[in-house]
Amino acid sequence: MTAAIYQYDAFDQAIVDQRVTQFKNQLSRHLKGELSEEDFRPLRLQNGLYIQRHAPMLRIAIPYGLLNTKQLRTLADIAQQYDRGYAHFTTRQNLQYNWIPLEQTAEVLEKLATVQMHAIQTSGNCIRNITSDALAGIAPDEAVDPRPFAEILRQWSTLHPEFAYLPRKFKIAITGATEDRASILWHDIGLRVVKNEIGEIGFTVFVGGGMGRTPITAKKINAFVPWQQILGYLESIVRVYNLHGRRDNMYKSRIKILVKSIGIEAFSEQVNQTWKKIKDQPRLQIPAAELERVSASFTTVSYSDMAVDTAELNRLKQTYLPFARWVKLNVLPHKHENYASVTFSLKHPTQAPGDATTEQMLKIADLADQYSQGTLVVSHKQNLVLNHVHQNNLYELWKAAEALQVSSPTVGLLTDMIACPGGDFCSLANAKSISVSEAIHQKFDDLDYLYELGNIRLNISGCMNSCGHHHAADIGILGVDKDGQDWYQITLGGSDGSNKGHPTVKAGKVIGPSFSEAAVPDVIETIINTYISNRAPEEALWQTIDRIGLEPFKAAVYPDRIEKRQPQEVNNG
Amino acid sequence: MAKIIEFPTEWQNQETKLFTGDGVISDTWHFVSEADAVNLDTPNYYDLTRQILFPLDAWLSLSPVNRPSGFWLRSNDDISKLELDLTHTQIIAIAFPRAVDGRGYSIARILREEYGFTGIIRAIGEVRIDQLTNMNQVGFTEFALHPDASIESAKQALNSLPNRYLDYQDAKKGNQFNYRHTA
Ligand code: SF4
Repeated sequence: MTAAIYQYDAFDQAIVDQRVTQFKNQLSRHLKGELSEEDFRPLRLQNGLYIQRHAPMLRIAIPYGLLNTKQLRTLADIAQQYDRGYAHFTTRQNLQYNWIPLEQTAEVLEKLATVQMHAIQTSGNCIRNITSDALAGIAPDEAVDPRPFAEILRQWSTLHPEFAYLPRKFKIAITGATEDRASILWHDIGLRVVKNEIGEIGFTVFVGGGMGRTPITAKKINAFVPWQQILGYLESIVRVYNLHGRRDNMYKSRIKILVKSIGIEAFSEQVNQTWKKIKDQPRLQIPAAELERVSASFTTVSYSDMAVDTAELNRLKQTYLPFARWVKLNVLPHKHENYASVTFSLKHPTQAPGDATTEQMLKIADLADQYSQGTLVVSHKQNLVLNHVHQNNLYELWKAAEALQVSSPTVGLLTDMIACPGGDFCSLANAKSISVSEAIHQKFDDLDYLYELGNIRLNISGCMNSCGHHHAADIGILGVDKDGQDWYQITLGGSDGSNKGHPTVKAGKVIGPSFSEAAVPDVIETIINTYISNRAPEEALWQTIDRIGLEPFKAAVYPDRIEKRQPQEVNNG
Repeated sequence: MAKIIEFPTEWQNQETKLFTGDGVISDTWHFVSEADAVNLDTPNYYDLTRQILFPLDAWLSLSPVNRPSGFWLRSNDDISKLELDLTHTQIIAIAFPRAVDGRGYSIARILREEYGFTGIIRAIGEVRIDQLTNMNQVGFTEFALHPDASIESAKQALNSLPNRYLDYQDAKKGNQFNYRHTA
C-alpha cells in the first residue's frame, strides 16, 4: 500500500471556501470601482490571476503535482465551459487557462473548490505552490516519501500572514529520492528529506537558487534539520529574506541575490540568529500526531500480487517496435516489482508542449481510473504521469494513449521539450516559444534518429523570467527582443540535477549572438551534428560538451566569426 | 544592501481613520514625522493634549526617562539587532511605505514573539482593508485607515478568513502548536 493523494477534511475545505468568498467580494469591489487596479493587483495575483495578452491568465495550484481523476475532469470541464477547450500544464506542476474573462474567475474558483482545488498563491510575491518529484512515493531510489511533508508545508505556507508581501516570488521544491527529479537546486529553497545515521528523518536545506536574469544554484545551508523543526527553520530563512531582500529593483529582489551579495556564511549566520530565538517555540514544532494525521489523510492505493506476464510483454515488445520504444522511454520502474510508472507525453508535434485539450483530459481521467487507481501526477517536464500501472496493462494503455496522441515515445529525448507559453500568450514575453518548439519538432521528426541521439534536454523560455527552464537544459533557447523582432539566444551545457545531465547542477553558457526565429532549427541541427561528429561511443550530449567544451560548437554555429577571430597567419608564399 | 525606501513624507502628515477591528476610535497619540522630529527642542510645536509618537531614532536619542511611551518604526528599522527596553512602551506604530512592502509583518512578529511586547501595535501608512486579516494575525491591533475607508468593508475584510492553518496570535492561544485554528 502506498499513499495516493491528500483528501481535505472540513477544515481544509472551509479555508478554500472562505478564500473564494473573500475573492468574490474583492472582485466585485474592483468591478464596481471601489478597489483600484493598483490595490486589486496583489490580491488577484495571490489568487492566480494575471492580466495577459488576451484575457486574464488563471493559474491553478496542483499541490506537488498530484491530481485525482475527479479533479482532472473538473479542470477539463472548466476548459470547455470558460476557456477554449484546452489548458496548459506548467513546469511548476500547475495548470493555466488563458482565456477566462475576469468577471468569471470567481465562478471558476468556486467550481475548483468543489473538488478541493484552488489558485491560492500561484502567483504574486509570496510562497508559491510547493513542487516535488513526479515519482514521489513509488520511486525505487526514494529514502522517504516527501509528500506528507510537502502537504504540511503546503498548509503552513497557505495564507501565511507574514509572508504574503515578500520582495519577490518564493519557490520551494522537495524530494526524498537520490536522483533529483524536482530540480531542487534551482529553487529559492530546495529540500531533501533524508535519514541520518540513526534513522531519524530530517531535511537537508539548500537556499538561494533561481533562474531568471542571474541563474544561480542553491547552496547548502543546513545538512540536517529534524523534521519536527522544519517550519521554524523555514520561517527563519523567509523572515531574513523578507526583511533584507531588495525591494528597489525587481531584477535583484530574489533571495538568490541576497545570498550571493552577503555570502552563504553571513546569510546562514543571520538565519541562525533568528532560528535560535524561535526554534523552541512550541507553535513551530510539528507534533508526531500531526504528521500521522496528515499521512493518514492521504488516500491509499494497494498493489496486486498478480505476477507480470513477462513472456507476453516481451512478445508484444518484439511484435510492436513503437510499443517497445514507448516502454523503454515512457515507462519507469516502480518500487513494487509488478508495477510501473507511465508517462503520457504532452509533447505531440501538433500541440504546444504541456497543452492538453478537454477531450484528452477527460479520456486521460478515464484511463487513470481504469489503470492507475484514479490518480495522476503532473511532472516538472510538463507531462502527465500514471504512477500505479500494473505491467500486464501496459500494452492496452499504450494503445489507448496512441489514440489520444499522448504516446510520443520521446520522454527524455530532444523533442520532450519544456516550453513556456511565450509570446502567444504571455504579456512579458520577448519572443514566441510555441512556434519554435513546432519548428524543432518538424526538423527532428524521425524517431529513429531521435532515439539514436539519446537523452537530450532542450528547453525554451520566451523571456529571461525563464519559466521554460532554459538555463537548466543541455540546449537552452531564450527569446530576446531585437528591434521588436523575435530573436533567440542559445545556451549549452546547463543541467537540472537529474541523472540524465551533468552531475553538477549549473546554468548553460551562451554560445554567442542570437538568431532569428527562422534560423533556430538549423542552429539546433548544427549543434546536434557537431555532437554526432565528436561524440565518443555511448556519450550523451552533456558529456561531449563537458569533454570538448563549447568551442567546436561555436565554430560550427558561427563559422564566419571564428574565421575573423583567427590570428591572421598571412602566408603569401 | 537594499536601497532604503523611506516612509513617504506626504503620508506622514495625512489624516487617518483609526480602526481597531471593532470600530473607529479617536487617536490619543500625536504622530511626529521624521521632518518634525528634527526639532525636538521645540516641544511647543506638538499637540500637547496627546501623547507623542516619535520616530525610532528620535526616541532612542532621548534619555530613557524622557522617552514617550510610544514610537514608530520605518520598515527598514532593523529591530532584531537592537535590544530595546519596551517595559514602558504602550504603543509601537509600524509604517507601510507601500501596500506591497511586507517587512512590517515580520517586524510585528518580532515584537510579539522575540520581545514579548503586549502593547498596541498600530499599522500606519499604506494600510489597505484587504490586508487587515494578515496584519491582525501577526499581531497588529490598530489600523490607521484612509479617511474615506468604509468601516463596514474593513470589518468584513478583517473577518474574511476565520480559518488559518497556523495561528500566530500566541498571546491568546498559549503559544502551543495550534495548527488548523478556527476563529
Ligand atoms: S519565460 Fe517569460 S515569456 Fe515565458 S511564460 Fe515566463 S514570463 Fe512569459
